[in-house]
Amino acid sequence: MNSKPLKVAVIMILALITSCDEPETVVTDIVHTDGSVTRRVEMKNTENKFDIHKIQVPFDSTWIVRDSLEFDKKGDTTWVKRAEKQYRNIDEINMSYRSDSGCNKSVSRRSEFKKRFRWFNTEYRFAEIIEKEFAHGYPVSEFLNKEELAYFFLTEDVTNKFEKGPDSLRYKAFSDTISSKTDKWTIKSAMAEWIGDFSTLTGDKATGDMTFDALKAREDELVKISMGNSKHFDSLWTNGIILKEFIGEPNAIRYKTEADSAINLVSKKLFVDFHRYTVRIIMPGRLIGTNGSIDSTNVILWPVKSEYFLTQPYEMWAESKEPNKWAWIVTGIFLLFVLAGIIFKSIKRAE
Amino acid sequence: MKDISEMKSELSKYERITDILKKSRPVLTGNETIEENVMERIRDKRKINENFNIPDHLFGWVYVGWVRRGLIAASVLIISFFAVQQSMILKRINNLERQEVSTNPSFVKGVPDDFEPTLLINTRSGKISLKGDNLSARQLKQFQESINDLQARYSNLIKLIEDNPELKNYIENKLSEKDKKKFNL
Repeated sequence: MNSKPLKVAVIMILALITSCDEPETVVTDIVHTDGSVTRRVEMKNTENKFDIHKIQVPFDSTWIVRDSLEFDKKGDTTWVKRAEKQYRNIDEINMSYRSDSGCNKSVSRRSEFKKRFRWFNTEYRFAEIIEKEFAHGYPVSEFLNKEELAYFFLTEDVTNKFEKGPDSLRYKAFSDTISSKTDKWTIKSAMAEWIGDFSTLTGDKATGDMTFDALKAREDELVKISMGNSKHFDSLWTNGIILKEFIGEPNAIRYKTEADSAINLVSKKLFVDFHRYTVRIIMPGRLIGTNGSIDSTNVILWPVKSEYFLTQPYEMWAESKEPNKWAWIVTGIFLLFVLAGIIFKSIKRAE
Repeated sequence: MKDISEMKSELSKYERITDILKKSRPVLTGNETIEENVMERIRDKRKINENFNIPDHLFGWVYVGWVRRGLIAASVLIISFFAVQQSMILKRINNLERQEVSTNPSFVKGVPDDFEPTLLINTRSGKISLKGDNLSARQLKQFQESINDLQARYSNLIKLIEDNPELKNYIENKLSEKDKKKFNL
């Protein structure tokens, strides 16, 4: 078995999230009313070290690239690489996602754009969606309450602000609670995924206690065994001890190959090759709804971390509206016409 | 023979009478009445033309019950639709305003187009722009050349250090000592 102990795995995910070797990357989608999108990528580093092949979104030679070295007022130097491309529509973006050969090619992503005519206004909806990795995992919402869930999806600067603010102790405790709950969520989902993958690999060969339904019914048992042995999970799994405890010695010997292959598949999904970045969306007209954080310039942003799309699709959406001036004028004229008619009739009746 | 001569005399009599009638004019009685009637009809036509006005024509529909009721119902529906739509939008905007605002440094918000750093060097085109006019273009060029030179020398130096483990250890020790002094450890 190649995977790390589960607790270490969770810590590793968090470590990857806070890794500072890579340049900070912000992907900005400027959505236009006709459905075209201007995509800007901005990479920032303290050194002039940019690997264009490790860019987080699909990239090709048609992008316009601009490099600059910027000095701020304090004298700090920053290397910035900016790239921009105009996509005619969502289909072009989705096509580029399908043929992506960049560093995030292993995740499935797509964009959506909807334009709805609502007489007085035209409403626009744009979404960036990353498909889930685990087919059998549990949504994080089953482990976190509404408040914790909102905190879990906040940008790092906002959580840092809380944890360094006047109520820091409370927020640190709150953050620890979330970490502990998300650890449980990761382990439970990983075990559910293992059962799913194991059942797929064994297929019709598995009967009786080894069928998917039978294993699924005993899922909590496997979670308990895994959590209880989390420190030595790797060696215990390699020696087949965990497997023997869960499915019995004869089955552990019989299904060893499938069990190991299944845990390898789960490891690959858990440690999906993904480089984090921040998504910003600028919508046309007035913003009316989003599930992202809003910055001080009324631009919406989302941190993109692999844990967000582990067990459920990660949808970053925004909705905006633009008034249809001509519809307002036409409606105004119509209402005035009807009102004038009523007044006219009452005058005539009085005469 | 007698009958034929009688018929001829009657025909000539008839022709004489019709000639007399054709030549004689009709005697009109009540000329004034006829004139009055004609004049009255002309006046009525003018009156009809004078009475045609835009409001009557434009709001003729108010006298047609089903049209009037239909237009009033349509107006009420439009106003209700407008009220519901606007209140829903306002509610959503209010919810957005309650959301946490990210106050990250400029980059996480993205570098805006109007971002004005003190000094900006485009490394690809070699163009230099400066906010303020403290440095001349020549000085800026020299500055850029110095940076390029420094980078080239620095990369050689790093390669040299990387290739020599003893030198690498020595420098790392010196740097950690320097850091300790810096932070009074």
